[in-house]
Amino acid sequence: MTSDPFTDFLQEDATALFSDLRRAVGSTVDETCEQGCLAALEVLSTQWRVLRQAMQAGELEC
Amino acid sequence: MLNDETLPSALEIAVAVRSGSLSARQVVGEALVRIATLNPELTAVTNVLKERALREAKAVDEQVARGEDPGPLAGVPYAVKDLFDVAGLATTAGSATRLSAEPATDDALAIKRLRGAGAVLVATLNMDEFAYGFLTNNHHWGTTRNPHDKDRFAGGSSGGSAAAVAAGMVAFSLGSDTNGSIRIPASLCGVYGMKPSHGRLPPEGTYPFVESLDDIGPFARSAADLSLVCKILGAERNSPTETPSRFRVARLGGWFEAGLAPQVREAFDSLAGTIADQANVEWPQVAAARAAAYLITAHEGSTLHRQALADNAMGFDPATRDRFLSGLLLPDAAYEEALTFRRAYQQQIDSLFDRYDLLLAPTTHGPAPRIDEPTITIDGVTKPAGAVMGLFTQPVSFVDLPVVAAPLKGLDLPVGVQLIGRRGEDETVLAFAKMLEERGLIGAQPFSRELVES
Repeated sequence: MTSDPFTDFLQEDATALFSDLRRAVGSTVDETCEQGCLAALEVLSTQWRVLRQAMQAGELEC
Repeated sequence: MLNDETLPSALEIAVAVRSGSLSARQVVGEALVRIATLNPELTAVTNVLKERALREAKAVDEQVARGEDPGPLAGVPYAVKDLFDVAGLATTAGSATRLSAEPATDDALAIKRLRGAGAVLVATLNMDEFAYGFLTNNHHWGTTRNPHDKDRFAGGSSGGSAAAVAAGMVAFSLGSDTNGSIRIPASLCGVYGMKPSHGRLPPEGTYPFVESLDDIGPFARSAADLSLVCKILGAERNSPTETPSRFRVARLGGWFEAGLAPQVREAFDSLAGTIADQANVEWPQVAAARAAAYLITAHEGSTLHRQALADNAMGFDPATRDRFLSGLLLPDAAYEEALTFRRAYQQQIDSLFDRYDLLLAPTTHGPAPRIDEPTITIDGVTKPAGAVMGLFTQPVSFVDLPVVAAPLKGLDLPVGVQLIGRRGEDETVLAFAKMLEERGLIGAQPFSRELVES
């Protein structure tokens, strides 16, 4: 674990994340969801990266 | 009334009904016939409310007979997206998982206000499941087809709302917009759509998607009708600001002009060249704004549906389900960073309106994608349509601004322009749209019934 949630998130094993999700949300989440879910997660991590880069560039005082 | 070239406006219907020259029952009866005729080809309507509509129409006619004024929308038939509460119906929000939900005990506040103005609710309308989409290819009810080319999508998520108005089934309709869900289908179906300033129109009695971004709004075939419906829906708000006699207008450059289809570029250039300053305005950090909108949508939408996913994940549309599940995997820190960015960003965007009353941008890169080929090609790169349809709309709703999506002229297939106003100045945007319409610079695309029935 680092002190940065984004770095930690990128280092997570995606399949393990999905298993955690199934345990947390419930057994109605079938394993057939995994591929689509992880593809969607990849999109989200890309968007988070875009946001991060913009914020770190300091063009906006956040 | 079924002559396609002379589809009456809401204002025209109301004038005729209030004067007694046309009965509300006749108008509503014709709307019901038109729905029955056209909907099998378009899949815009999900529930026809025949008994309720005829009962409401009768009440309007009785008011006229008594010498009372039923209101500025007397006898005007309209319909609502499937996320508005309608007393006696389950509010499905486009999901089969909610078919057995408890029926609503009351109408949404927007419906009550419209009924108070004499409008008659005739149907509910198709949408993407839980409003999470830009195409209206609903897993349970089917794909809403575009009235201008039934081999193409109507856009989404309020696709039923746009298609029903474009095809003349109803005079106006209600939908909702979180990232573009009013503006995109209005654009692709050649009608007007209004995304108000965030929170301006009443959300009470609607099924949410992303509450910090959601807004309800109307679709209509004229800017004048759009303005009238907005006025009625927002009647209890503060009195409007004074609209300027001359509008200071600029077009957005950079991100908002890249990759346009040639015919769209030509039509947009033609309009902007007539009404806007020569200099383009640069909307800053667009990619970051869109990314933040994406993250907020995923987090809030997923959190809302967490329990439903636990109860019946496999009952969801797979595409919706997988995106909601991925949102649950997103750390809270991503959402918090997106909110932090949003607060600072809103102030930066507000300053763009120091010099201008209105900014112009296309709504989409090109016309509606084909249903058998759900992709969009931008600058030679082909991508899934749903992934890129919101490129021009998401950054704008992200900062809560009022926008009218208005049909450009001179196109074979419809595409709209976004008329973007300062936050809270919805009346200015509506007045500007009416002025452009009166000057013949924008206008709803005529509907040809043969296109649907062929």
